[in-house]
Amino acid sequence: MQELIMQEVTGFATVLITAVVVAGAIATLYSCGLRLWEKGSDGGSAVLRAVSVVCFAACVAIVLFALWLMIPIFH
Amino acid sequence: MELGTLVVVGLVIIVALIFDFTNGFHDTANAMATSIATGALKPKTAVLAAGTLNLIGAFLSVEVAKTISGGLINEDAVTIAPEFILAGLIGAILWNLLTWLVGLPSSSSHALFGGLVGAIIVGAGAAGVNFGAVLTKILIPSILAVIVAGLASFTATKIITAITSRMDQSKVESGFRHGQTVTACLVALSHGTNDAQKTMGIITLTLVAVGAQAPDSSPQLWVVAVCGLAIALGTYMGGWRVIRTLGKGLTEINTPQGFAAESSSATVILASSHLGFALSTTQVCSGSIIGTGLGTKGNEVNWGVAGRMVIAWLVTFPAAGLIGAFTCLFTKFGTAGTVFIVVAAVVAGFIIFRLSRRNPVNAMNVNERSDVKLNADSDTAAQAA
Repeated sequence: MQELIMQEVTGFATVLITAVVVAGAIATLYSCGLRLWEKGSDGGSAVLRAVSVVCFAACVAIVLFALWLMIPIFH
Repeated sequence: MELGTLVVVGLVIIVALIFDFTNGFHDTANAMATSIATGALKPKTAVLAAGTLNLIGAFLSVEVAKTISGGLINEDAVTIAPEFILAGLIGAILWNLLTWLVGLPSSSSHALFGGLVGAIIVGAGAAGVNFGAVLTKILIPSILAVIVAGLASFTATKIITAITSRMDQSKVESGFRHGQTVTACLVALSHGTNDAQKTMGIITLTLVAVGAQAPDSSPQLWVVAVCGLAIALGTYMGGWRVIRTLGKGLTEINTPQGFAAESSSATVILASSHLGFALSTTQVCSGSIIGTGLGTKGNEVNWGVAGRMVIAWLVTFPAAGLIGAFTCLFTKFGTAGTVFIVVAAVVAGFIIFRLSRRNPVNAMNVNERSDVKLNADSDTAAQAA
């Protein structure tokens, strides 16, 4: 019984940490993408726009990874 | 196959598809409530997208269908007769309809498992149920889902606010609209890959029980197709009452909050299902919305609605179990008893539907504020406008 409870606690902690870190990372990337794009457009900075595109590309990569996880035929 | 058995199997398949349909319209809100509330998607477009993605999702995987009971039922200790499955399904359907009537999101999976467990206790005895699994897979995760999803969504909302607070807010709104749509679609797809399979599993289990299919085999293609269509149709019909509660009843949501809630929901659903700690989609999505409400400065969470929702989650399993157990009593009278409970369930479903017409919620009034009372007259006026 104690082993079962430990398993559940470990499972919960893993999901909690993963979810908070990944959700935080997605929010950071997407928000930075929007902000850098606006700043780059207003100031005419190609570098900022390029970094913004990298942020959005990372978001797309996360979405693709989510699809990979969801579809068993891929793994 | 005897005529009586054939009738029961036919009824199980029909009732299972009706459950699948109610599962779809009850859970449309999970993926699309915030997108509809923020205007990121028009109501009809949102339910069409969710329905289509649920249909696609149904064809992507049959892994869940193979483990339908999720360890809650000792399949080695008892023989699961089709009559028990039928009684369990009826318990789940009636509970889904009742919670839909009062606009409360509740887990269709918990209702299904509750109904099955109740029916099996009456039909085959308590030895057929693994009560330890009920505690660890149903009751404890119900509470933990809100904590995990709420914390993830709260964190995401705080980060978004910190980074975008100095930006032009109209650009922030439009920028997050695209992100919210994509994340909502991910939640809808993951719902299709999970929930449609439960009905596939139920039908397959029935076919195996009567010897029409080999044990441990995957669902047949026609089973996958009809289950996918049933859940997609249910999703497209849109459980507007639950959508209104989640979109407008819990907290005020703009597109950044909607994005935070949907991306957190998608993350928690995927993380939990792949790290061995499965959480209910409904509870995760509701928890995310509460989390984003708490994370937004000056925003309030309607704790009255949130409290009723949590009570509904905790009550879902035993309530569906009680209905399933009561229904299973009648199956002991043979085919006549089985037909009787199906007819009684249809009558009960019709009464619930009639009651819902007193304050209809639909695509046109779904975004009314939660404190606005809806009635049949205002609905007629809205439709005429």
